[in-house]
Amino acid sequence: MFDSFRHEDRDGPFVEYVAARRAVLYRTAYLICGDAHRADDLVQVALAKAYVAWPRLARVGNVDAYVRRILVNAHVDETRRGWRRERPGLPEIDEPAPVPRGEDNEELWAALRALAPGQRRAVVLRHYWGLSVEETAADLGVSPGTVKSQTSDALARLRRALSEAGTGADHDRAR
Amino acid sequence: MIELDERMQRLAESIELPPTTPEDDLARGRARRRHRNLGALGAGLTTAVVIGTCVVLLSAGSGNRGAGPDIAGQPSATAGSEDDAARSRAAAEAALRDEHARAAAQAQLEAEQHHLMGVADSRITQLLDDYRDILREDLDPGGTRIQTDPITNRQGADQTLGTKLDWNHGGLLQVAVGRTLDEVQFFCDGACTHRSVPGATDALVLRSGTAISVAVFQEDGDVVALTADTSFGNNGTSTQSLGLSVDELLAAAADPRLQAPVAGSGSSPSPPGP
Repeated sequence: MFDSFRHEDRDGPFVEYVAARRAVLYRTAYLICGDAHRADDLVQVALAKAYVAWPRLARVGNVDAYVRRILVNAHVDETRRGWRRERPGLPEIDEPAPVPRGEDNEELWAALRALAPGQRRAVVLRHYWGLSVEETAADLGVSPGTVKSQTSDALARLRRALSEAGTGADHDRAR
Repeated sequence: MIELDERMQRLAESIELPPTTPEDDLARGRARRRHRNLGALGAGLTTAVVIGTCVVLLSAGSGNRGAGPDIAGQPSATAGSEDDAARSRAAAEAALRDEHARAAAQAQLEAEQHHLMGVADSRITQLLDDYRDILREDLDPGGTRIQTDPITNRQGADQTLGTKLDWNHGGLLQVAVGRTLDEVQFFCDGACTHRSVPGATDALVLRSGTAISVAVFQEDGDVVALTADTSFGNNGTSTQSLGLSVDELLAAAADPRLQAPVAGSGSSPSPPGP
């Protein structure tokens, strides 16, 4: 009924994996959801599931792909829950999500946050993880055609937003 | 395209990482595995009992057929029927003994589970009473607005616990204490605002209609979520006014005595003061 892996068989490799890959997974989650706490939640859930499935993952070999899929699917589940989106914020005390530090990060961060969740997931997998269209489609559980169209639309939006931001910055510098 | 890849890498590298160790993830993984194994054990026991019962019933059925009249009516059938009947009786008696043994083992298991559930049950009741007493001290020192009737609503599992309390005669005060926002079912999706609260590493505020929700990340890693609403929802009751501010809710949620239950350790929140 239970897998025969003992604690010590899985604990060592799991801890090694977490030590090596948690940062990348957290950053992926943060780029996708834009919130530090939710990103941490997503990573915690994904890693806990990976620990349970470790014997199978160890046999198959591609732990990254498994954890990444759980992470992305958890975010898909979140964004599908419509009732969350119905809750208004408090404009008078709203604070934007913290912007990652860096010279040109602010513009890209704002442009990324403006994308639809599906487009953001596609862009992060394609351009942060460097996955192919087919790999991204497998992770997201959609067709390669959907990934292509989402990525294409997202890139057009990103280019437009970054170009407008660049123009604005040039204009400010000229003044 | 390559430029975007590089900028994405730079953006990702600039994201600050939370102070989590691999051992924390290991502990969460182990807890999840325990939880899953317990569920599988329960399902396995149920299956075993059902199969055992079926086997006994089938054995008894075939025993009755063997002991019945010889339908074929052949001359040698009488002796054969007696042998068959004896074998069937022996099989039925063996099956009965097996069933008794199985039933005894099942009864013992159920008794142990019942005992454990009773222990857990009383601990949960105590925890929820403590939560209520702490909230009364923090939000309702006069004790006129918070529910005084026994707490019947329980929410959560494993390392999360919460309840819904009547507030100001018809309204709602919901509390949930856990280790993550997911566990306390607090969902922002970009609609929350961050607040600074003494004694907390971060705090979130969310307003939705007549409800105010806050989630406070206490310094010990616990997450406390409080929701106050003029309507109780399922109960169909409501109150004229909450008489609670966001700051009061944040301060109450930051109370370090509100502690998440630790699975299996029997820990409880610090008892409220006199």
